[in-house]
Amino acid sequence: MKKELHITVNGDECHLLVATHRTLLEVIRDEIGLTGTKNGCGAGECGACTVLLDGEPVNSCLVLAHEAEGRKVVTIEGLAKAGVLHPVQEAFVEEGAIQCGYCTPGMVLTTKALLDKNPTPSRQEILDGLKGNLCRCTGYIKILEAVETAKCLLEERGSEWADV
Amino acid sequence: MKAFEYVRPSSLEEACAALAGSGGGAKALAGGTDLVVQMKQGGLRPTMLVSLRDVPGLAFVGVGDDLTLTIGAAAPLATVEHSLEVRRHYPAVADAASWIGSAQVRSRATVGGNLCNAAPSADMAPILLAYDALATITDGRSERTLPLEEFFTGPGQTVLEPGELLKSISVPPCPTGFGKYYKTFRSAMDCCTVGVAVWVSFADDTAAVQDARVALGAVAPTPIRSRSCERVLIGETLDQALIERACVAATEDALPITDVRASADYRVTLVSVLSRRALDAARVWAQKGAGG
Repeated sequence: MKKELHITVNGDECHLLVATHRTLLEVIRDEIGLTGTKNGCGAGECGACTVLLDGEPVNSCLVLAHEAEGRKVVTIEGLAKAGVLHPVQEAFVEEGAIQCGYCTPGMVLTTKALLDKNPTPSRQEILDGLKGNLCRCTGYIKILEAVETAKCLLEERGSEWADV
Repeated sequence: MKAFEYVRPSSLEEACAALAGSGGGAKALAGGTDLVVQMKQGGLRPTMLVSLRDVPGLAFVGVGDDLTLTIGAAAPLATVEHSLEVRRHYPAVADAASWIGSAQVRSRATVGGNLCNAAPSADMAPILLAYDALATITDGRSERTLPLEEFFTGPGQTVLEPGELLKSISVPPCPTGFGKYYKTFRSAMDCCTVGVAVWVSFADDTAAVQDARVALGAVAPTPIRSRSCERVLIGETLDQALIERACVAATEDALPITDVRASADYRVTLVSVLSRRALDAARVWAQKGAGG
């Protein structure tokens, strides 16, 4: 059974006709065509499908698309502004915190949500914050360093990115 | 995932009517972090999902003037975890919520979902049992309130009748005391192997236990209170010898199974280890003068 769905994705309003059993992940990738959001485990364990729903990190593989009706979704494609990378993205590039790249969109968005809530997390708070994101390349040290760097970059110029 | 009908009512009456009218095939959808996984893996095939998203009042979390804690059944764990009121008056409840799953899971997963799934290992259950929480159930027309302890009837089973919803959990005001939840798990996203929650109050500025409640998770078909352990504690002075006896008593109430996470014997050992950890912390708290 299909139903109308209205969601805002990266600032764009989307009006779609979506079957009620589709997940937000399926709609983002297959209907809207934004493939930066990755399908990993499909069970909420790996975090590759993380998007921000009204600013909160969620596993889009476990959110039914219609549960996001009327809400704002931010995917990895929504972070950069006019070709300039978001400080969290810049930090991941700077620190080489990317190997195969499959976990990266989820890592970046989870980091953004973490730093939005707590701009000065301790190392332990970063570890706890990224619990739900697996990196099968096991590049965790560089990812942790990237979060530390992102923390500094956002401290310097977070105000320029307050609207993202 | 198999197709199903999806409704998103905007009142409790409508939600309960939809659940009641489905011939038993409907499930209430809160955060979906358990339900959607079970549906994807084929374990559950509901014909209808009744979304609780737009039902007003269900996501409320607050502490009243008399310090009654109220948690709406559809309150996300993240709301409980970050609530300043809960952190201040019921830190052990906020902690228990913060140790579940990941940030992504806690954004969506709800307290009611955790309890209604009725896993023996449900992480919110032991600490709420230790605080003697009450569960309020509605059928859309009338409500009934019962001790949370009576809510669970078996693994995955509760007292909820078709057409009924858990509406809220409340913790009645209690004297100043020490509450804490301890658990062990194998990795970040895993269910707990064993969980132990305690709540202990002391007679004025002494180590004499006035009241104690001990709850165990993942060692019986449902989360349970350990009355044997409580009986050992109440009225006695909380010293090392009493803690030893109390830990033995707690293991007597544990009836665990062996499964992929741990053997039954290991779980019994963990009950003793975690009970000791919790009661040691209670003792330290009492020595410091009831937390100031």
